[in-house]
Amino acid sequence: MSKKFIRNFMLSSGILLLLCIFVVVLFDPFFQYHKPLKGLKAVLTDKEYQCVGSLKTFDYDSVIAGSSVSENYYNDWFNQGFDCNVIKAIRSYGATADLCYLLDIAFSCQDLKYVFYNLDPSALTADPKTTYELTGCPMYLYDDNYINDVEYWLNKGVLMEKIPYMVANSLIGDYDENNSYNWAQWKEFNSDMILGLYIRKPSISEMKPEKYYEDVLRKNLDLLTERINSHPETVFYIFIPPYSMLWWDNIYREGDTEAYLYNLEQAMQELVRYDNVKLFYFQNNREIITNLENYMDIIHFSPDINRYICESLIDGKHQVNEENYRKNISEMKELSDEIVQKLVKPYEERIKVDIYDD
Amino acid sequence: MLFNSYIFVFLFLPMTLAGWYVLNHLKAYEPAKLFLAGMSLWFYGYFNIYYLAVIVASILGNYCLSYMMKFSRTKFTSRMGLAAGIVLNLGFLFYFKYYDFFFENINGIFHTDFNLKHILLPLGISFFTFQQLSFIIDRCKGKAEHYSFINYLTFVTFFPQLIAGPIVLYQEMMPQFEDTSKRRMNFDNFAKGIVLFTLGLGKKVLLADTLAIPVNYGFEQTVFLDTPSTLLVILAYTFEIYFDFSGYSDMAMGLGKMFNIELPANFNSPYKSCSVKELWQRWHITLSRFFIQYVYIPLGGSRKGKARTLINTFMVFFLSGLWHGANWTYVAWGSMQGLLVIWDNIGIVGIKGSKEERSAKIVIPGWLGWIFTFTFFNLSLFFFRSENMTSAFQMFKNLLAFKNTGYLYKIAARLDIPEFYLIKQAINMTMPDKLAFVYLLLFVFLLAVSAFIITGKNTLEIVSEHPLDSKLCFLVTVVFVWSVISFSQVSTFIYFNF
Repeated sequence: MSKKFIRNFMLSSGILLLLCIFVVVLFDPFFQYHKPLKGLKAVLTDKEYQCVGSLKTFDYDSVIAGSSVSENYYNDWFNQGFDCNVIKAIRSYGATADLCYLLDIAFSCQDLKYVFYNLDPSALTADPKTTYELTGCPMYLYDDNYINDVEYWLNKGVLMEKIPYMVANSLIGDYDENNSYNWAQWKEFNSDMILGLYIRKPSISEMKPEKYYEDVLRKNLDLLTERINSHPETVFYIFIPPYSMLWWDNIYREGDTEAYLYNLEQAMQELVRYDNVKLFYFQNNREIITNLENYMDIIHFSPDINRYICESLIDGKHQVNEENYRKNISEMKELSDEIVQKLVKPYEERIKVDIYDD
Repeated sequence: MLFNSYIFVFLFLPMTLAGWYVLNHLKAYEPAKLFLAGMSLWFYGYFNIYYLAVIVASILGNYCLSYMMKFSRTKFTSRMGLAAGIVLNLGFLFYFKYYDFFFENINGIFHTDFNLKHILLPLGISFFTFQQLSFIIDRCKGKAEHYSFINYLTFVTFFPQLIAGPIVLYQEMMPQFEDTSKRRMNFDNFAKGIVLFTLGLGKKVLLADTLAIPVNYGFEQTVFLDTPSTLLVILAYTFEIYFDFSGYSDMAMGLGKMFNIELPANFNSPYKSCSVKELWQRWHITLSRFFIQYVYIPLGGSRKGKARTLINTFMVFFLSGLWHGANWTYVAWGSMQGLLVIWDNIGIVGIKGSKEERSAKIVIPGWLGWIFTFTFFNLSLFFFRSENMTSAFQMFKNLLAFKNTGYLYKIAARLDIPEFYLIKQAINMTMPDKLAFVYLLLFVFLLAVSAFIITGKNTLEIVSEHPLDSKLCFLVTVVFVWSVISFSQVSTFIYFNF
């Protein structure tokens, strides 16, 4: 009786576990092994789980790489404007090392025509090492070790939630694959939102010297230029997105303005040298950044601005070259001074103050 | 390594069982023990290699002392050995577990500035220290013999009991490791081991870890809780801690049985108790056994009068609280248990049908005793679970505020578990305004299932009474597969601002 019990238990458990593995590998909602099955859509909503897999297994010839501000691009804007087939390589915070890690996967799997690269100022001061493991990302999806994929195969979150979600969105929902990782549909963009979320530092820190971040700046630029150099056949559209004027107010109070402007100037100086780079600068767009109705918080702007950026890339507007990059930076410097001295003043009564500031 | 991990279930356990039985089948008994000890050390050092150095140092220290006791001829040398053994083990425990707590309090009281060490607490140090302490005390008293190093190593490191008990005694383990008749696979024991392990796994992974979601959230938000949410959070925690700890003990016993080694029972349906005294005879039984044998009896036990007996009882619970953690919250919890057991011992109130009934001034029915016991134990857990005394008192305050702000819905909404996903989507589509209420129902349902389980047969009773038939096999298979697919889940990355 005991032997029979052991045998039946082993057999039935084994069969059920193998069945779970089969279902996960068949539907593969994180796209580790294959593209979506015929009839199912590429439902991309969890970047930490799906970015790597989709870059490995999808067919594409261009990539939108960037932080959360890049998630609201509609892929078809790029597909039509550049005659390409684009997918997103998104990483929260958009640190250079993290995005380069994703680009390396894309370059190893496809021949890329274009890389549309969102360069955030914070990416130039970020740690030049990848942060996936540090931030608790599912590393079993990031390596090529099939053994640790057991965490994916035998995972009730995948079986009971992600697979039904994928199937439902494919068959009965109205999921649009061009809206991969889009979050804007659940958010509001207006001055109440941004002013409600901005907690202002009451004190003003001493301005840091402009070369304060020089060491990490060079390391981050090296990471990016290494990819640009290694892929002369790929055109890199690199663009610096327009953060709101409250972001400029914030970095002024943190004492970062001069160092950040120096970083941007150095980055521009470096990047405009490459024939396969087209660099665009949107931060000094007064109309966008001073209009708080465009924002959800001090950084995240509405999809209309994403659309504007994409159209500018297509039309070549706001492009920076060797002749005008210094002018762009000096304009930005003047604008940032005007922001803290004048433009932000009318909003001061609506801005919350950080009571824990020391 | 945890029992509830893929590496343990699919690699470590099959490898260790295969190695153990193959070597024993070849009559390589000593290599088999060495293999088992080696695998156990791998199990222990899997998370942090530094842990390995700690346990090896502790084992070597105690073994050397045991060896030296071979040359002890006088009462003085025995006493010296005993003192050295106690200092060695408690010193080890103090350094790794209580150093910061002690000097934090010294700094607070005397305004001194001793540096704190922030030492990473080695896993299971409280368990293997007490296990070795019991051996070394008996060794110095001449009750225990000196064992071979392989035997001693196997006794201390045997992985099923290494991290979370039960606290085993050398008398019950050494003979089993020596008995060659136990080295053959016993299919009956093996099958029962599977049942025990799986039911324990289910308790831990499916119940305790799910209940922990609203509990953790509740204890992070103590200032916002109202009376109903405080009540349900503490009730959930009462179930969580039982399923977590007794689940781990069941798994340990089950694993022992797979190796044909019997480990002592650690839990016997404690929440069925009608008095706190009875609860402590059923809860963490091997810890109580240790304290009775090595603290209570040496202090005089019940031999030195009523007052001394009560003081000794209190001492045991005070130390038991401190054993659970280096924080005043544990001391308060232990002291509360001590006072409640003393109240039971005084004998003013007796439970109908119990042996104390005759001498008691007031006799109450069993069900009333159960209500008092369960309520007091719940309340004491405010101390046990809170980060600090302020939070614990805040929870008492919440309970007595008799306020209902609807926070219960917020707590219940944390139960966003994959099992509930399809139901959640269906409700979202048909009656989205009822979702909060359905989450609350789910929470209550979980508590009801927990209550049903703790009032039914416990795992040991199931294993000993239920035949190994297809019905049990089906249950065990479902629980096992469900638990295994729960080892890993998909997390939500909430950080949004870049």
